[in-house]
Amino acid sequence: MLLQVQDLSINYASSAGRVHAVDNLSLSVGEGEIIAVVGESGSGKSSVGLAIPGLITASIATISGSIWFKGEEISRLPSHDLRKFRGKEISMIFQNARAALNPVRTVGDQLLETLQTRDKDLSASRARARALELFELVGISDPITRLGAYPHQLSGGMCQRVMIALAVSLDPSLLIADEPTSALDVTVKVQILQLLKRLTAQIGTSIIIITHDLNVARALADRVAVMYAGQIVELGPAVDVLKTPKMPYTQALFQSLPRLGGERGEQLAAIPGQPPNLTAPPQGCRFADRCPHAANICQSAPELFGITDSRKARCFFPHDSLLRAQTSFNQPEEPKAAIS
Amino acid sequence: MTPTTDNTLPVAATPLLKVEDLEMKFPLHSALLRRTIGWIQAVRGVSFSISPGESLGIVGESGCGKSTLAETVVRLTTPTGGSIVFNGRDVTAAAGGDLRRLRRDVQMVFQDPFQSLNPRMTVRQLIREPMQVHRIGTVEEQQSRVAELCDAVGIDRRLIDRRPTTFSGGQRQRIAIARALAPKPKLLVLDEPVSALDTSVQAQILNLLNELRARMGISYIFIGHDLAVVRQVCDRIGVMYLGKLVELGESETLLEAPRHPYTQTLLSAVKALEADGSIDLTENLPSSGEVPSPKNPPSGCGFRTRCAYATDECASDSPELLDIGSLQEVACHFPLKLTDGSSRK
Ligand SMILES: Nc1ncnc2c1ncn2[C@@H]1O[C@H](COP(=O)(O)OP(=O)(O)OP(=O)(O)O)[C@@H](O)[C@H]1O
Ligand SMILES: Nc1ncnc2c1ncn2[C@@H]1O[C@H](COP(=O)(O)OP(=O)(O)OP(=O)(O)O)[C@@H](O)[C@H]1O
Ligand code: SF4
Ligand SMILES: [Mg+2]
Ligand SMILES: [Mg+2]
Repeated sequence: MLLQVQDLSINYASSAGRVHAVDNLSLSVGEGEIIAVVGESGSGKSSVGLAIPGLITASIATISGSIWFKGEEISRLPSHDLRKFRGKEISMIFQNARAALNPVRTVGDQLLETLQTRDKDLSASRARARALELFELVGISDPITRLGAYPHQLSGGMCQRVMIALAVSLDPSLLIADEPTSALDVTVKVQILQLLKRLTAQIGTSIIIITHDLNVARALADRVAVMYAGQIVELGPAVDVLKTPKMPYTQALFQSLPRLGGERGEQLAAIPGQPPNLTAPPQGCRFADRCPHAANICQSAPELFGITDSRKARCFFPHDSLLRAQTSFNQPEEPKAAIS
Repeated sequence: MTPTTDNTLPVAATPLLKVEDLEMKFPLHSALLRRTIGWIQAVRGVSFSISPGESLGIVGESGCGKSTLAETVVRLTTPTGGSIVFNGRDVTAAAGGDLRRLRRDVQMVFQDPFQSLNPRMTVRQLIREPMQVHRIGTVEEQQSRVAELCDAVGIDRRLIDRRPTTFSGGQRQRIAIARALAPKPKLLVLDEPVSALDTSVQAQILNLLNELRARMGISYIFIGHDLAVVRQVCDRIGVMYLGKLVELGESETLLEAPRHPYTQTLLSAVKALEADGSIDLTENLPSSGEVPSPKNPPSGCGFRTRCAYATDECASDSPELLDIGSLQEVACHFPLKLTDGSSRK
């Protein structure tokens, strides 16, 4: 295993109390494996991504659990030692691309600096050639002019691609990509997915890609982890999870997609209600309040149960709900009576 | 029904927004030579209009000028050419009271929820501010509207006194939408409002937008990359390429029978990505040719460097956006024939 995250919990300090953003999360990533993390907005995906390379400081959150990278427990390392893992070993594409770039330096300077920090012997002209090549790889037109641009002179999708160029320039062992394609049109998106896939095929980079785009997850990932309210609620091979989701929340994600063939302007099936308040998360299943299949037993907390060798779901009725998903998601169902 | 003070009926005949030949270019400075060495032509002559209550989608390649177009329409910047007429008034160079009125009636939700919200303000202050600025309602009315808006976009009321930095990307985008809705605008310009959201929250926001439009007749310009999402809220869709509108038409028609080669490329990429079993990520896409630069746009048609149908004519003459019937306008010398065999005009 390249990366092992064990029992990771992240609690942010806030005026309203402690926010239990991530709750006892465990996840491992193999060499050359691509894992997609999808799930609810605010469910803790970015928090997990930031915690792995030690980017959440003790001043804003309490973190517990352990993170192992290449056999070393990096979560125990003092921040100085951790720094050597960032970049070359673990590199990151941040969700907020424009804000993550330095606003007062040209994107070319930032890329050249990254390249030359990594390889001290790289001559200025070779670095420049490599920078141009990277810009071309991510589909930035007129790369020579663009190297001299400041972030505010670039479009949203271009900033995102500059971030991608920065991150892949290091040939990292692990790439954590937080929403790398959210601002890209489909043709450029496919180009970036190709680039990421090549990175894995050619130099064996493992990737954790955080995304809301289920098509991206399916096209790229070997496995998918679905998060809801700080927990992984479903985990398994991408093709299976995305084809036959078993946890009601995952099913709901699909039900709510607008489709090109559907009726325009029709009411989309959003999940009723609100996600739980993470300062006082519910004792039982965190999705129970909004779940059409909830029964009395759901007031106690389900584990991430194994369904098959490779699939897991945090639900008491994973098979049941699969059957029902084919009928209608929004219909209240009868197991309430059957179980109680 | 009480008659509104605004000229609702007469206006219905005239567009709410009319943009003509809009142009926006940015100077390209050379630090070395200390002078302008060229221009980035972000928007190169765009014309369209929107009726009250109508919703127009804008799609197109990353960097083609969508955000720039949006920012000039809401007059965050002044266009370098063309005109913008809002509600019958020319606002191309509006200032003072005219600009203030425009700022109330036209609201914008920005592409980047991380930078568009003042980190020092609480959610309550952020949503209330536009109502204070434009003196809308009493303090109590403002407070209760803040709460209503939080419910509408799905922000937990209990979190209302937190600052935006403590919210996730998707949560911030919802705050931004609530803030934009606060002064009850006539036109809402949304720059990729849902791309940071999970599909369920996205559905919630899209439902909300459709409901607001049905109930209050608000108009939208909706910029997006996901065609199914854009179609869900938009009556018409405009497709941009390299600073120009290359196709504009009724949503359904445009997506079912695209007539511009770029629109077709876009749609086939969407279908490839959506197809079950996923696309071959190692193969090159059709039309992955060189993307032209807005610094030196190609002569003639902007798409010709990647177009499979390009001829000499495409290099010498710039095709204009022309009505080809069936509620569609296309800027192409050889608009693709409809699949059912009926030929172009
Ligand atoms: N600094 C902070 N202080 C308090 N709460 C925080 C802080 N940062 C994040 N949170 C909360 O932690 C939770 C998880 O946030 P995170 O950014 O990890 O979500 P996410 O899954 O990445 O969401 P999105 O898809 O919207 O980006 C959210 O409920 C958020 O409000
Ligand atoms: N302030 C500026 N100075 C110089 N060039 C700019 C400026 N703002 C935008 N541009 C350029 O104008 C062009 C259009 O940018 P714009 O942000 O409008 O694209 P977009 O269609 O919104 O793209 P995306 O989908 O990636 O957000 C780009 O080439 C961009 O680099
Ligand atoms: S005008 Fe010519 S180059 Fe442009 S899209 Fe049409 S056929 Fe292609
Ligand atoms: Mg996030
Ligand atoms: Mg943009």
